[in-house]
Amino acid sequence: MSAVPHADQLRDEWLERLSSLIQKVQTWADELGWSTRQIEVNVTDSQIGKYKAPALLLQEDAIRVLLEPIARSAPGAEGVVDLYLMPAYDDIASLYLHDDGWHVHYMFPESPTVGDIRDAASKPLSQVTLREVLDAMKHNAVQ
Amino acid sequence: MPSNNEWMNRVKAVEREHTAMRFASEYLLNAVQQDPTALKGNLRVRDVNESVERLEGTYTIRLFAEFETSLRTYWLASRITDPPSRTRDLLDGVAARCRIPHDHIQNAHAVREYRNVLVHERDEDVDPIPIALSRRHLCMFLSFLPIEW
Repeated sequence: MSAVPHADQLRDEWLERLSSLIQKVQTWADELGWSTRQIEVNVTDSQIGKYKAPALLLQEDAIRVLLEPIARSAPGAEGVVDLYLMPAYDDIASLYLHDDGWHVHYMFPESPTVGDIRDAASKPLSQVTLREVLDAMKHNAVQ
Repeated sequence: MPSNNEWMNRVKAVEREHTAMRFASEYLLNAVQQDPTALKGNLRVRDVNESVERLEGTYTIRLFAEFETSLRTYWLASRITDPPSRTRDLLDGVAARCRIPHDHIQNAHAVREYRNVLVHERDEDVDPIPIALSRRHLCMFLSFLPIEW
């Protein structure tokens, strides 16, 4: 593991972005009728070390979803957060931070089929797209 | 002590690592098939090809190792006795204690049996299980363990 200069600052900036995302999604999900709870997860980053990051559990009826930070940086992105169907940890969608905003990569019904979530079409994250993803996931989960 | 969710996350992390390695190894295979001289030493294209073919099996073994470690850790934390040496008995013992439904027990055993075929190179007629499905089965099993132990 090779620490970079200003690792603390990089970590704090990333945590601030994460906290803002988690809070935003929590507010939207609450308004959509989901029960939500913030939790902490342990993350290890090769450049900024180990740290605790916020994550979000969402539940509606028997369906449970986890919004979990994956990486502070990735090719073409300044942050990656994944959405999973729990408890199986099935991939639902990926959120990428780029161009100063979060974008959802999800196989929306109108999108071409791809083999990996990360190759799926993306839309800017909003309460509307969040609702789209959660509704589609609920529909698939009950089938 | 890691929480239940953290153990499930460790299992999921192995799958993520496999995804990254699959991309890297297929990229490498494509590159060396175009230019075999890129390989150094005694490496051959067939070596790279075999590593790509065996990658999922290798990571399935690691996936199960994380799962087994979580069960042994749980056993030690919740019981006075040492955990069973046979993994089959460990699974059944934890399943009984945590009242895990039959289907999830059977699915976890299916992953165990597939892992055994991979490790011991047996000729048993066991259908390969995609790593994503193995992860699913093992996480579902773990989800019945207490949140903290």
